Amino acid sequence: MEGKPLTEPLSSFRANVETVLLGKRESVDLAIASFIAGGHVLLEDVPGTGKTTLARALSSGISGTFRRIQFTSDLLPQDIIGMHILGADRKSFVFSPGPLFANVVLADEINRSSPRAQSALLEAMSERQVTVDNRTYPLPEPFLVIATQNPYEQHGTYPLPESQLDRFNLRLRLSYPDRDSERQLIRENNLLTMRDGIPASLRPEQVRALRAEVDRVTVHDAVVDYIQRIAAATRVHPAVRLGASPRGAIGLKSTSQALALLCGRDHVTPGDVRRAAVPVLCHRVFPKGDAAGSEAAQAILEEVLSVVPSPL
Amino acid sequence: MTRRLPAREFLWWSLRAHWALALGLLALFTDAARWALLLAAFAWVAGVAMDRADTPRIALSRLGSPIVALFLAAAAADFLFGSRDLLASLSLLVLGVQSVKFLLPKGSRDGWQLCAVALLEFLAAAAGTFAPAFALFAFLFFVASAGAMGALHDQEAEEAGRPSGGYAVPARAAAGVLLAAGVGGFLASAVLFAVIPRLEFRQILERFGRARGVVGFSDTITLREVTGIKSDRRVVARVEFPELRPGLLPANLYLRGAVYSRYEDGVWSRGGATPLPVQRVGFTHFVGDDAVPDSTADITLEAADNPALFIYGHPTLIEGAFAPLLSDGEGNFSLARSGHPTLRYRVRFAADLPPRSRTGRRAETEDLAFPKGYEDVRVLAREIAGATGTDDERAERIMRFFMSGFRYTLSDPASSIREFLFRKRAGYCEHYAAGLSLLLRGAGIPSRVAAGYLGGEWNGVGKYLIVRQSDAHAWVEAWLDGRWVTLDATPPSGDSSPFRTRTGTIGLCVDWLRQRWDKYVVNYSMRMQADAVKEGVRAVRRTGAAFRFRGWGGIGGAARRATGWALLAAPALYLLYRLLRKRRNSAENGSPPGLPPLPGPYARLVRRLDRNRFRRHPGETLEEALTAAAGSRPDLSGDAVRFLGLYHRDRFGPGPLPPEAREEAFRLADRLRRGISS
Repeated sequence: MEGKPLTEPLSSFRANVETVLLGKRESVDLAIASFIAGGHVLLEDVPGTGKTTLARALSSGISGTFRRIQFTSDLLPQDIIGMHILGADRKSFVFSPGPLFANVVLADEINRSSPRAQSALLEAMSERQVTVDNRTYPLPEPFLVIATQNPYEQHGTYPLPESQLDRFNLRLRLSYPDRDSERQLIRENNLLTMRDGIPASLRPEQVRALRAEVDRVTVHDAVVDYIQRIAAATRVHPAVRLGASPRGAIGLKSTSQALALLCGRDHVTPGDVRRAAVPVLCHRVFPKGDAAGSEAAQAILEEVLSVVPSPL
Repeated sequence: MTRRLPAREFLWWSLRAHWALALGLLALFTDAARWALLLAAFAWVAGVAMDRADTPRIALSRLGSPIVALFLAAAAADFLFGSRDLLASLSLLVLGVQSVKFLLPKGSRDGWQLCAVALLEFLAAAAGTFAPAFALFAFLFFVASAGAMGALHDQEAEEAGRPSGGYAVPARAAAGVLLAAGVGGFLASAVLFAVIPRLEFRQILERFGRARGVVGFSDTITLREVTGIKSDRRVVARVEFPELRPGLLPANLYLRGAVYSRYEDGVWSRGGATPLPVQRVGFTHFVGDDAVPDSTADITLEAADNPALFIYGHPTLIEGAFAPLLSDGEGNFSLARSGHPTLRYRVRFAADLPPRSRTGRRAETEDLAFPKGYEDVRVLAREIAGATGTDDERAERIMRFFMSGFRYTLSDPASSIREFLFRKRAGYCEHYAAGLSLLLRGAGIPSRVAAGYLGGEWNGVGKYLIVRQSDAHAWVEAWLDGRWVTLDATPPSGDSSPFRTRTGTIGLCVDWLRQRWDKYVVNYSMRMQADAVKEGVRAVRRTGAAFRFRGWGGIGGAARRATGWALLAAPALYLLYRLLRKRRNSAENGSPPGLPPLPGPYARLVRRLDRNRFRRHPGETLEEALTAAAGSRPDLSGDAVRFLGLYHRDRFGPGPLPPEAREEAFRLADRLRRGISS
């Protein structure tokens, strides 16, 4: 069983990320879980709460490539995925890959760019390949997009439509650190400190092996049933306009599996599902009327979770 | 000064005390076979000796089953050929189990079982004791129980690898256990009596009877010193009146123990008729068919050394678990043997009879026999009664004779009847009764002296009459108009009498508890069950016409059947309740068809968490609830973590859990449940 040698680098990876992001253990666990389950992450919060730090820590934890794309309103698809340029021999076009060709891509302030650029990124996210001028180029494996957006700035932004939000497996909110962690942060840092330089502990092929490992985590029929009931309950909730998609349910299962693996278990418990449910489903549930916003969706999900009986 | 025993030593010390106490109870208060008691005592000594010598007991472990089998055979033999007494036979079996548990303990579980067994023995013995002894033993028993349970608690903690917290038992848990034991014991006795309805509990205890009851009621009446009796506040009987003719006051009723027809040399004694068994069906004795009963009394007679059975008025039926009941045809009722434990029986009686035609003037000469040497009394009687008028009128004149010039005294009474009638004119009830009876006889009216108790103290708390030794009284019955009429020449003592009993409210409540114990534990009978059922049916009838049962009016068969049905219905209802509960639970938990039903220990743990508000929504998992519970009880967190690992693997894991791991999970679940509740 190759699971044995993998647990050690995984736990050191997790410990390293946690030293960078103080007091955010749960968010770190969820982000890593999504990462090893192969799901992209959307970080949503005010600036300066560590979104970029988390993304950089995740990427530098694996010995892969990391790129950062700053989304602006004039960003074009070519700027992301790359383009064909005339080769040095002046006879043929060669493909010049854009910043998307990396193991970890940080799409900063994704809602600032036009839908055109957004859709280019999102296609790559779900297909794991890009098509430029009838040529298809596979993206490296592992491939993870960590997008950030600032929900409080509405002016001049293009909010992601429902279908595109669905491509993200996880939406995390990195709220302010707790008091002790923040004190420690203030004490130990100045404006020039970079806290994301952690040693790489996972190689890309190990990440691939981990993904296979996640797939092997047992999901009991009762837990599958529980996931299905949660997803179904979001669709019939009276305050919901659009409920969780089947893709959301699949994402919930995979994230739960990854969480279980992270805890060193070979089976998913209802507790794993409940841990993952809000981050995985929150951005996929759209409340009715003006109540749009993550608070309302989160309240709905918490209600669903307290009402849907968990298997015992 | 306090020597602290190591927990383990303390445990076995207290269990030993426990068992010795139970053995003592059985030996003192029951008829358990002496050889079995000896054997058990031997096992006790052997156990103590082995503890002292630290002998390993593994080698003996094969003896366990043979010992139990031996006692089982002994119990069966005893029931079939020996005592034929279920209680005694069962106690043999219990002794065997106890011996094995004590000799070959396996763990703290055996300690709990020893406690339970001792409780059974205690209950068996308690039913036969009288109140003071019972209270003492209850106290000792509960102290021993509390000690043992505290020690068991510690040992369990030790076995579980947790630090044991001294000898402190959680007070609430101990109180709960004791309360549950008490209530359970009471219910168990009630069920036991219900299961063997023909064999009233009274009968079983009959054999344990000791003649150490109230002494004081005698077979003869003389003018003796009675101050002692009048200040004796011991209770003789407690009487409930389920039915009483309107106009009658319990405090004015005469509870009659004997009538005396023969007077010789200043001594009244019973007539010469031979007592014969009374005709009976079951436990209903037919003692008189010349009266129409209008009242009913339930009499609980305390243990007494005299076989006399006390009755009211003119009895027609006496229901009670004693056979045979003897009657001499004169109004004296007695048991076959002298000395009886507490008795409970019901008397149907007519308070008085209507006048009848004067055809049958009593032929018995004993009621008229005038003693020799009392001619002056006969002259006095004729003088007072006069020669004219009916017997009624002449008896009235004689009664009136005592109303003037006589005074009631206990301290300075006349020493003989003649002195009382002619000179001193001072005495107490026996003087009055003897004088009145002699005068009636002198006037040609048959009469006899009756003895017993007049009235008593009414207990308003439990609505019954407390008859005490100080209520002892003597009076006269005269044959007037073809029936016996009670005549009492003694002046009423009045409220200011120093011998009148006044009990405070607390005393009345204590006495009430005592009466209930006698009524519902010691003397609980088939008839009372039938009454309870009838009462219930009456209540149902009153509620409306929807329930129309026919034939409930009769007693006996119908009531017995009803009891049977009720007993059958109770477990059925319980099963139904369990079933519905399970249904509801599984519906709530939403266990899909793929998941097997929650095993008992897990389900109990979940219920406990629900009840203690650690799990508030159906959506919360066992893990969350247990984590919350462990948050408030940090000592549980180690167990909780270990349990959750096993539990998750068991319920959601890829394969079935190995049996020993499952066992461990169940054990942890039970321990957590107990930890959460305490």
